[in-house]
Amino acid sequence: MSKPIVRFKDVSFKYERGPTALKGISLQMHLGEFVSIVGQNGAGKTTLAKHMNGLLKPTDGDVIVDGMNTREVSVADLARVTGYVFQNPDHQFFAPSVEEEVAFGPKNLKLGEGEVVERVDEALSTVGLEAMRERHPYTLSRGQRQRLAVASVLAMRPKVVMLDEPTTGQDEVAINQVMLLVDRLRRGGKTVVMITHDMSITTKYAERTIVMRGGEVLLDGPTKEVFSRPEVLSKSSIEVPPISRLAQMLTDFGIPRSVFTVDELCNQVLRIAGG
Amino acid sequence: MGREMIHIKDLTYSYPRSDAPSLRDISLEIEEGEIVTLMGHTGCGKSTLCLTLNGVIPHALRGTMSGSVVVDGLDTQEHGIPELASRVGMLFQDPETQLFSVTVESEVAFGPENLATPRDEIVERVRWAMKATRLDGFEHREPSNLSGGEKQLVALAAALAMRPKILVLDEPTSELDPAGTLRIFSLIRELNERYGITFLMVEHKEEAIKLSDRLFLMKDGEIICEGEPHDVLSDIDAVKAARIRVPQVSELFYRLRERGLDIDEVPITVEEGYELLQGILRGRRGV
Repeated sequence: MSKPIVRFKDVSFKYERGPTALKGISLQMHLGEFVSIVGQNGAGKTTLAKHMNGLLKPTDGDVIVDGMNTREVSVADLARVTGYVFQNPDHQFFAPSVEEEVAFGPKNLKLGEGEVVERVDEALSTVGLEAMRERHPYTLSRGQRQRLAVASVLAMRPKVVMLDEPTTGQDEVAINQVMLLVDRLRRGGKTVVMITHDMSITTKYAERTIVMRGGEVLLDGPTKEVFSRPEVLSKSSIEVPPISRLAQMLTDFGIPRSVFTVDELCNQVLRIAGG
Repeated sequence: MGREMIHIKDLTYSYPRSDAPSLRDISLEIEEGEIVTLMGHTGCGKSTLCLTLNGVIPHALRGTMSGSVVVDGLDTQEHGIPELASRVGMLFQDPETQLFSVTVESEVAFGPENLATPRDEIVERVRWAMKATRLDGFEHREPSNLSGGEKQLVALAAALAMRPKILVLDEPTSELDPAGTLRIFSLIRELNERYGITFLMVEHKEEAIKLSDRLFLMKDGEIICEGEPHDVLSDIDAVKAARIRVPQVSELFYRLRERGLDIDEVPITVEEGYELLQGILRGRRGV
């Protein structure tokens, strides 16, 4: 396997005058992976993510991102490697047009004008917002605003893209668009890390799932294996998605326990009932 | 059945400087004590429809409105926002945008204070609203230091302090975690059962569907389907047109129907799905 792009080495973190939010985390992520991080609020998901872009530095242990120890480099240097898309895109926009919003990051890198234009074009076309470049961010639909937030991050040409709850408040079409975009980024060699409460989205799209609880990693592995252990998941108050619960109730009829998507269960039911 | 709480007739509305209407020829009636959920793709007009119920449309957002909206007997075109505000409470998706006071208590008291309610009554209403939302003990907390779920409860308490007969909730849980979401839904049920408050929500979660007496599906400013949740979700064409995300169990039955199984009724919950699948699997097994 390739060299990891993100490496947590026995990382603990304690907020000043606050609780210990991460306890002895060790994990690695590789380029091209799509990882979902799940867990209740307060489990440490966002704290973990903030260690990847250097907003937080470990109290103990080390976080190595693209070969850099986050203790030794600035947040600005890390911003070239790791991009963070907030849950509510409205909390991050400030420019009067889509184009200027996306150009803001690259301009801050003091890139030449040609390079800025090139990056803006590339980012807008990746998220499918080329036609909206003159629009004011707040005149876009919620789904479009989400993609604009992703474009602003992509213009920094990061290797790791973190998405905080990218599917909330979105309709079916917008969710599919976000997930198509994630797939495109992943196939383009980026690591995509999604923080989410949406288990249906996790089981449908993410190859790997990290379950957090009380600042620790409770489970980390291929999504199918993680969700095959409902007894461990329930410790983290994570519910298996409805379709898996339904499948698990039907094992007497010959439905395997490892069914996690609507398509899989549909095929299984037809295999048994349809002849 | 109760009396009519919301009556919308032939409502068409366009925002100022917009050519295309955001709401087209909408007619609907909602009775006192009903819980109804409005669903549809982003930009279909759900939020616009919500704003017609407390008079923000047409009084604050003028635009072009035809037809009528009558709420608790008041025609919104003839009665102003302050009068409507004591009947219709509103809650939006992002609690951050609706809280501004330094303490939870003053936040909740803000509405009745503005209506020049006598002091004793304000105190009484605030106490009741805090209790109803299980926020007793939070009186002197700062809203900005609360969790997202708690902030949304404060916004709900502030709406309740106006003693509304109708609560309009526009995606009240979309920014909340699962625990916060469940708290909101169980409160909706309780407020409905104990105080007979009529609810109109814009929601897409399975729990909301389970809670609802009726669903309305919207597409491009029109209502394209309405009825009891199972009936609406069984109308696959309408569901597809509205581009909504349906419960996984319902989606499974759409697929099974597409693939040739004879399905009349589309289930919503895991338990309903289990009942139906048992029949299907048992019927065919060993045949």
